[in-house]
Amino acid sequence: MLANIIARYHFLTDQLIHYSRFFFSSPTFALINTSSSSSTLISPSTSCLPDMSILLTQKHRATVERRRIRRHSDLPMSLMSRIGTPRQDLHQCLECGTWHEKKTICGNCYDRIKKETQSMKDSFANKDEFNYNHPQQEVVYVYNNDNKLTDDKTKRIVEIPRERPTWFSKNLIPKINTTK
Amino acid sequence: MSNLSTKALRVTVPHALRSKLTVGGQSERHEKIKSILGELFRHERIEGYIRTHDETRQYAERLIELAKKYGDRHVGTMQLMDYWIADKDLIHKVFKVFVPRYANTLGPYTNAHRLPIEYGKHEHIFKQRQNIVLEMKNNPYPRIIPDPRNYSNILTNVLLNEARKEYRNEKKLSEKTDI
Repeated sequence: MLANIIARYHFLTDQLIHYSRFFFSSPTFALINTSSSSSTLISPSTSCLPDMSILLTQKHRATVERRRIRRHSDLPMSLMSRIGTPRQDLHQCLECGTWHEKKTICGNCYDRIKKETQSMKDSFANKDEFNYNHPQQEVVYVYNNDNKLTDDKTKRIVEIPRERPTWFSKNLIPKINTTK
Repeated sequence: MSNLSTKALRVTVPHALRSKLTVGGQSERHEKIKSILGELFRHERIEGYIRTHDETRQYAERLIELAKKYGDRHVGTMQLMDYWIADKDLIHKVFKVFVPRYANTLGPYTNAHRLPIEYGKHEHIFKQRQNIVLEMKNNPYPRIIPDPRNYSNILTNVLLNEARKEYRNEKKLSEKTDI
């Protein structure tokens, strides 16, 4: 019975040491051999206790920052690096100055474009035609202050009873390099 | 359909797991792609989850590529159109609007931009759901990426232009003196 328990204990400690490599990748913890330090006077008899040959102890003192993080943060230390660190990949929009992530587009500018797009769609009067029998020409949206287009069959002209916004350029396909 | 071939598509192929699109098997996956394709061809600018919409982007590219190459009198192309486009009025739109529009353009006919992530909106709080906006090129709506700026009047550019002019003048003078 006891031998069984001791074998189980050894197995668990071995497992702990094996997996501790993944939890603590930095060498902050070291292995101590207590049985070798038998020269000390106060040493427990090996018969009554299981052989604690290996223990995990702290090798280096944790820094003040690390201790304070551990003490005061709600997150465990394993999540701190992923969630609890400040982000470095934020950019400022050149148009409006709001912050957005590096890989995404500016949300503030996109809201404006989204509203304008939706209002342009709403100005298409016949919803049934749009949804079930889509016009088979290019749809052109004409604002109040734009030039009037000749009504030929190649284009479907939708009039919007507003003035064109100043930020919405009339030239939809500009040249890429405008510096020249 | 094996005789149909196009050039290599000029869009990024997503290598992410396609679990979001294979929930109910291949038929469900096709149904989902068909619905997104119809939405894209009708509205020309849609928003949605990156996995599904980035997958659908390739299908849209391939269909327009085939329509440009073979035209509407080709059996295999029309079979594919009939299968992938559920609303039949959009097949007319592909041939009458998109093919003339992209007659001279080479490469991708769609744009995709990543939308800002809304943190904490997903059911698992620490996971983020990345949405994108997918659009056909040269659509009548306002541009998502703002117009290119004119940087020629910035001081460094002005100085560089002057330096360039000086260098050219010196080169001309030196050539003349050598001769």
